[in-house]
Parts: sequence; C-alpha cells; structure tokens
Amino acid sequence: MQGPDKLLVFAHRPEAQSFLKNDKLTMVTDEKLNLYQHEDYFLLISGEGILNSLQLVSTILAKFPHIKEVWNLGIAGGLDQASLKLDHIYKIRTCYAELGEEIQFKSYTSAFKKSLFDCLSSTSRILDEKKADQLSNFAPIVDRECWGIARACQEFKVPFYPVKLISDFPIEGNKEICSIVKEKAEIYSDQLYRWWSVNQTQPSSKEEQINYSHFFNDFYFTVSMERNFNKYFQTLLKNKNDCDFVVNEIKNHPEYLEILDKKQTRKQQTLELIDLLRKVITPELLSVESHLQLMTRELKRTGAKVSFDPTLEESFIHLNMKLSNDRDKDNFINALKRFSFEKLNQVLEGKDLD
Amino acid sequence: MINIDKIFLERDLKDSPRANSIISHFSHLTPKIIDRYDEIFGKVKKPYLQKRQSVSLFIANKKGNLVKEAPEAYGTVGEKHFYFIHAFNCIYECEYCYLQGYFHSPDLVLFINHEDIIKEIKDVASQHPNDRIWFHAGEFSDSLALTHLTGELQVYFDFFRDNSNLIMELRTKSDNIDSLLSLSPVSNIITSYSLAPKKNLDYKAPTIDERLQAISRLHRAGFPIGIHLDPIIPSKNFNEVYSDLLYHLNEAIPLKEVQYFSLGVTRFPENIYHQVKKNYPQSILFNEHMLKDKNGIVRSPRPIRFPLMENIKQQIFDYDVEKSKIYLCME
Repeated sequence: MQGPDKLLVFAHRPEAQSFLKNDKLTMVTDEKLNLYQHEDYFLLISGEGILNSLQLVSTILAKFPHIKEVWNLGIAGGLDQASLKLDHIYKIRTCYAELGEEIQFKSYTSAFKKSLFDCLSSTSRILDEKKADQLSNFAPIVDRECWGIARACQEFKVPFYPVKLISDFPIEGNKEICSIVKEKAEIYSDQLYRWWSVNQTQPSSKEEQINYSHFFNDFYFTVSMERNFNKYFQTLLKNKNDCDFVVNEIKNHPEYLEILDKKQTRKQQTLELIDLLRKVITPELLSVESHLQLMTRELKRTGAKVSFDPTLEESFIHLNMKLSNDRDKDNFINALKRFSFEKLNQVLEGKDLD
Repeated sequence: MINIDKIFLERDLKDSPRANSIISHFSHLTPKIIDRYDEIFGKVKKPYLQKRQSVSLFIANKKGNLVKEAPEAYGTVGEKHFYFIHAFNCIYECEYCYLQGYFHSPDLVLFINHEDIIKEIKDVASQHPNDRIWFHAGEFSDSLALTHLTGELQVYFDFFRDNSNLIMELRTKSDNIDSLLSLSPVSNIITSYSLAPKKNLDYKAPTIDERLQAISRLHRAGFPIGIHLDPIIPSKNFNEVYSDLLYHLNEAIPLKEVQYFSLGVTRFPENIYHQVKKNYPQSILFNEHMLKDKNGIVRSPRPIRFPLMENIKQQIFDYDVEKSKIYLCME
C-alpha cells in the first residue's frame, strides 16, 4: 500500500494522544504494528527503548519506501538546567547513545543541523543526579529512543527530525517523577501537537540526486557505474556550468566514437566512458597517457604487455611477455634497452608534456 | 572568535594559575571538574561542523608521548623533525583541513603542562646531540590563534633562546600576534604562515591580506618568518594567481628574507577525504581529478601536481631566493 510520505514516531500512546484525537487517525489494520494513518502522515507508537524504536522504524521504512521524512516527537529529561527550560520544546541536532553502561561512539546528526541541542538516548531511565551529571558531559537532553530512530533513518537514507519536550530534570530521591510525567501526558501531547501544526513543514534537507546517465542511452550503467559517472559529470558541470555543453563536449570527443565502435562488453564500454570523463576533467592525464603509449610502442611491438603504476606515483614498468626463441629475446632486449627511465620520470613529473 | 559553550577542567588543575588564567576569559561559564579529558573528548563522534555553533573547551595535562617524530618529507630535507602537542583542534574552519576527520570532534583541548613538553624536547634533543633538530608546534592546532588566552609563548621562548642548536616552528594562519610581539625575537624560533590564494576555503581564519599584514609586522619586529604555500590548488589562471600572491607576499616581506618555503598540493588520507566530501560536497577541491596512492593518500596525480609546484618554485626563484630554501612537503 502507498500512503503519506511522513512518519511520526512516538514512544508512548499518551504522548501521541492529541494527534490521534485531533487528526482522527485510523489504525492501519493489516499491519501487526501500532501504526496509524492520517492523510498527511503515518503515526507509529514504537514503545520505549532504543532497540524497539530501531526495529519498528526499520520495519516501517522497509515496508513503505516512499516515506520521505521521519519525525520523533516526545518528552525527554533535561540534564542541563542552565541551558534548558522545563516544558519547552527543542529541536535535536545530534543523537548520541549509551547502551548498557557504554557510551556509543557512533552518533547521528538530524536534519536540524543548526539547532544547538543534542540528545543522548539511554537504555535505562535516568533517575539520579550523579548519572545525569555524567551523561550531561555528552548532551543536555536524555531520552530512550531517539538514537534508534536516527540509526534506522540513516540506514534508509531518510531525513530525521527529532523534537523533544523537556518534562523534568532528574533530581535525587524524586522517585515520583514518572507518575507526575504520566499525569501531565495530555498537556505535553497538546503542546507537541500545537508545535507540530506550526512547524511541520521543513525545507528539504536533502539535495535532489540528479542522474545524468540518461544523456548516454547507448551505455549500460550498473548502480556503482552510475554513481561514478554522475560524480565525474557533476565535476565537469561545476567547471563548465552548462549541461548541454558538457554532454556535447563528451560526445564530440574523438575517443567517444572509438568507445562506441570498439567490440567489447557493455560493462567495459561504460567503464571506458567513465574513464573518458576523467580525462576530460584533467586533460593533462591524456597527454601523460599518450606519452606513455609512445614510450612503450617498441616494447609492445615485441609482444610485451606493458603497464605502469596506475596511481602514476612510482616510476616502474611492469612487463608481461612470452619469449619463444632467440629472435624474440633479442627483439625484446633491444626494445628494452631503448626504454628510458629518465624519460619516464620526466613524464611522471609532468615535464615536457606539450 | 569561536563560541565556547562548556569548559571541562581536569581535577589536578583546579588550582593551577595557568588553567585559572584561561578560565578567567570565560567569566560566564563555570568549569566542570572531570578526572581526565579523554573520558569525554573523542568518546562520541561529534560532527566537525558543529564548531560553527559552539564547541567545548577542555583544559588538561597531556600524558603519554608529548613529542613525536614527524613523518618523512615533513620539513626541510636532511634535518630531524619532531612535533609537540600542546593543543587539539583549531578555532578556524578550513575546507581542506585534515582535523575534520582526525579527532572525530571539533572540541578544543588545551594542554597546559608545557614544562613537561619542554622536558621531553630536552630528552629528544639529548639523543641527537650533533643534529640540528626542529620542533614544530601547530600540528593539531593553530600555534598563535589562542596565545592571548594560553600565554605559553614565554615558556618556549625562554627555552629555545638558551638552546640555539634547536629550532622551533610556530605554524599558523593567525593574525593574533600581540603576545608574540610582546617578546623579543629569537633567531631559532620561526613563525611560519600557511598561505593559499583567495579561494574562500578558509572560514573564520584571517584573510590573506590580514595574514600578510601580520607577516609584515612580525618581519619588521625582527621575527624570522617561514612560508607554507599549502595547499596549492590547481586553477585555470594558476600562474597569475600565484604570481599575484607572491608579489603581495614580497611586499610584506622580501622573499629573499623568508627562512624557507614549503610547497604542498592538496592531499588527504582516504578517511579524511571522505569526511571532507561529506562536509563540503560542493568544494572546489573536488573539481580536479584525484587518485589514491599505495599509502592511502588521495591527491592529484604526480604528473599534474609536480608541474604546479615547479611553476611556483620558478616564480619564487625569480625573487632571487636560494634553491635550498624551498622544499616540497610530503613528497
């Protein structure tokens, strides 16, 4: 089934209640998930915890690949009273995590890159000041799921918009805090709903990936070839600023027709096209190549296969050949004698290439 | 100036006058006492570009190796080169900077146990009694950018003044030179400036004109100057661009009087190359074709970059600079 292209994720139903009520969401019945639908968005109740959120959001994103944005709205604890205010809503910039007692190195940056607030997702509830103080070294906000959702979004390359309402600051001995938060759930949910109503439209954080390979319909592109081709094409485009100009420059290149005429596999043909783009970006390389060809012409005539360091850094020559008689041997030795390493060094240092 | 949002102070330094002097510049912040900086710094991957908003500042003692041998082709040929570490990270933001992939955090760490660093410099020097040895500052930070806060220059000047067989290099892009100008020049302490033509690749760092002014002031005050033309960036009007840069540099300091020039073309270890691409996908740095060599360094192929360096070398020679004063960095 298709459907809306936004996914809103809440850990608990009480946090989502204003959305469910005001927007009259219907349950997606053919899914064994706490998934609801509105004309503008899906709403998922993921349950508490990093693993729950990671698993369920991954499932939804796999099932609905057209989803373009994921939001996480919910309450969170504040770890830094100096920079945060109770009952205020903050956009989260980077998501960190503590799994067990281990701080995780991996972090995920949300689409709110310019926000000033980070969030650390913890596998346990933070109810004492000492622990809160320790975690505050990494982020001023703590929750239970943000990192898991961020990770799923990263895997599926979907922009992530986490938003947290600060419900409490962990205070030593305040064991009642969870029930207080529960009692205020409706107020929090209303606040989140109002915030969402105003802020739900975000400028796209992802640049549209343009594919230029369709200008070259005679070629067959695998996914990685297409990526490489587009990378080089974009570089050319940056230099020349005109797509038609770039296409014509390639198609009018003397090597272009040669590639098309050559008898080879389609994959090989495309690899040569990509190589041609590379040469057009850096024409000096073409000159290096033709000098190397010239230098090895005699060796090749003797039947030797000749190659150089593909990175063009080291001055060596790699020869592969079969010698069957004294004449082969003499021809080869004579050709080798005429090969000049001094000249090779000059070419590799870019001297006298014109 | 970069925005500091938090200060972390190692417990052992609570009563350190040096630490407290740094903290006094941030009166709006209360330092948080921690046991060791590396319990926090580098424990999570913090995006490099967060430095545009704010960073944390750690004040710490550096443990372990304080002085390290520099890689081959790091400095002038035929001499021993070491670098010492008194800070991690930089307040500037440059597109080509390898720090963006090095520490996985843009947070600043200031190490203030300079006497320990000096002691280790002495130890290293004693192992090479007959050599002229270089000690470079600024491998992981800018050597001058924060000296008005950190105040360590005096310590190093006192030591190197008394050890004239050793050379110290302060690598910088900074025009924050008042602390330096308050000291008497020492012939074996060289302030070296990185310069690249105006390409808008350095954010927050002083402009080329500001750097040239700083060079001129230091030169007039008698401070020896070195120049790093690094990174060299290929461009269509390459010759004119560098000719213009050298012309203006020569106005700031006669090129003949520069202690040395190092030339280096843009290069990245592979992991940092990917990080730079992620941070600055539209950078002009990627307009040229680059290849990865067998050591995992991504850069322009040798036949492309050598003529660029040769071109600049020739232009410098035109100012009657001795050949021995120019070296190619990391070649």
